[in-house]
Amino acid sequence: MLSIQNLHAQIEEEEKAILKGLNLEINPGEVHAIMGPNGAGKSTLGNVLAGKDGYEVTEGSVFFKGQDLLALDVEERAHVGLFLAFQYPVEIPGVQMLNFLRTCTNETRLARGLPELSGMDFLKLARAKAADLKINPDMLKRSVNSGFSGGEKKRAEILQMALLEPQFAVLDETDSGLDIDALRIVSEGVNALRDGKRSFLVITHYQRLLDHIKPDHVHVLADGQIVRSGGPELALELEERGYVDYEKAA
Amino acid sequence: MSQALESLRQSADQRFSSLGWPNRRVEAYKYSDLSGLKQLETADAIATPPSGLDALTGIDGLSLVSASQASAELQDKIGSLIPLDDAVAAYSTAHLDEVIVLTIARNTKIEQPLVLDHGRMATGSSFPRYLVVLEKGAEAELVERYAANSDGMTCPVVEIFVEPGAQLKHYRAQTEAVASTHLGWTAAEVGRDANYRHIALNQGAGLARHNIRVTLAGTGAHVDLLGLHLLQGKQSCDSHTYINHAAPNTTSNEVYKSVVAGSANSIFQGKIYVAKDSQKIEGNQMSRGLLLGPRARVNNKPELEIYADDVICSHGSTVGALDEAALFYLRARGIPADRAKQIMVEAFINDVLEDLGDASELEAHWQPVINEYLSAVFAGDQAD
Ligand SMILES: Nc1ncnc2c1ncn2[C@@H]1O[C@H](COP(=O)(O)OP(=O)(O)O)[C@@H](O)[C@H]1O
Ligand SMILES: [Mg+2]
Repeated sequence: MLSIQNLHAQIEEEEKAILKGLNLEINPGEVHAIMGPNGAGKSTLGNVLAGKDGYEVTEGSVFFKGQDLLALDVEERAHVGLFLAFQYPVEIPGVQMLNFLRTCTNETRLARGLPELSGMDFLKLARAKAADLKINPDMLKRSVNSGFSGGEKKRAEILQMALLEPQFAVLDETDSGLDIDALRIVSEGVNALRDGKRSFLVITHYQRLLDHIKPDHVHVLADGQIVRSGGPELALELEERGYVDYEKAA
Repeated sequence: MSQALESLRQSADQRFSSLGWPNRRVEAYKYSDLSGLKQLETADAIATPPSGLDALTGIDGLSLVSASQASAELQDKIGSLIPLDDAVAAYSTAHLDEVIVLTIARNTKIEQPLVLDHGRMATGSSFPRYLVVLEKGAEAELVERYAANSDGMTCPVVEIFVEPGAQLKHYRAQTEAVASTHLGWTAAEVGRDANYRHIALNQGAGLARHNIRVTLAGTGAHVDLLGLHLLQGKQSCDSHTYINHAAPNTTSNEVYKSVVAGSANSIFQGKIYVAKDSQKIEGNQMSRGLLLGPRARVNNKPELEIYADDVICSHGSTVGALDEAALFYLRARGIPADRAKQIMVEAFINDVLEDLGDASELEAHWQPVINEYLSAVFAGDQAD
């Protein structure tokens, strides 16, 4: 599904290396968790995969379903089935959530050779998925993420994922700012999409999310590299010991 | 032409002869240089009656006459709201010919929009001129459209009296060809508890200047000035507004938004003036520019001149490019880059448009102009 080899990336403007030879193989249906100290490069990895400007890949490769992911435009990456749930979803005043959701759903469907959904069909679908995530339907009338609470933003991310039906999703600290109930709802939203083929890369600080979304593999990312990999028990160990072993000796 | 109008015309002619077209040293024209404009021979002036006036006959409560048929009292109002020390006002008035006078009778509500539609198909200059009077308690919707499709100049002057308790919604769309020069004047006097709402779409003409002067003359008077500039190529468009809170307890709300592509230049100068004895005033002004390219320019100049002390006035001005983080977010959700930019621009202009409610003018005439602008701007990269 996703094959990352020796990935080096730097901040374009500062020529500051962030990812320093990262390797990761994710097979269909697998859930991988990435944990690591602040500033390790976890969000950078998500951004580079999604194609955000401002990062330069200086070495290495990323193949997604056999395709050179890095050669694709941002929107093309979404079309071929990549999804990034943002650590900090962007507020877009003046763009109505519902219109936004319909536009991205239909653009993606068109790109995948599927017919567009009519206004009515889409509305039904969006309402149903929103209800699954206990999202207040009024939220769909508001501007994208504008004035949403932390928890609302994260739920809105999962709603987008549910509508876009990606093959592979990166969840960047989707658990941060969620209370126990919200965490459960969001996790159920993710688990509902686990069909044995879809894969996930779950970035988190905390083991508690992994109680709900059970990972097949857990990795520690520190200073731009995967420094340790293991099973779910690794997350428990990190929970106890923290990241002190991996903090950069600056 | 009546004696009075002829002498108005002559004094304007003299004024313009001494003023000439302003260059950038004239403060009010600091950002739009008119000094390259030629003064036209009178023979160049072409009469262009608006189309659709026929539709305005036989409406109950509306009187539509030319100045020569209007009462002396109405004739006296012509020229009373525009200052001849402005070169554009002087130039237009120097070419004063036909003046159309529309009067909406006391306490009458006219449902049908009053449409003044101006195409100019021939090279030359046209000087449409109107006096609009809403008598006490009257309600109407005025629509002006300027869509010249040839080179030349359009110099319209519209003077409006919104008498006590009356309400006017005024839509003004300027979508002329880039070969055209548009120099317009709108002046309104708003009486006690009267309401004037002016909404301007400026998308056309290579060189455009729109002067707006509103006097809030009676207690409780309110004005909304809402404007859009949608520019591309080498266009220059200057909206120059002046709101005079001449009476206490008056309120104004002004929002101008500019979307600027290519190497176009958008100018907004907005002054709020509060006289010494005008207490309990509220005036809010916001101007925002959105730059769609490295050579696009926005010059916004808000100004407050306040002589009263019990006043709430605010102004804000911002200029910036499209939010990169928001664009990335939209694209990461599968929305192609051009479409994403379009969505962002629509969001930017939304709060001006949302205020228009369900006006048929917006649906039928503005939305197509906006759509065409957006597709022109986002259909591949512009040459300049
Ligand atoms: N756009 C950027 N400009 C400058 N520095 C950045 C940028 N993005 C990330 N960084 C830096 O890169 C490092 C890794 O950041 P990030 O990937 O956000 O870490 P994490 O998500 O693991 O906390 C940090 O030192 C951060 O300051
Ligand atoms: Mg992060």
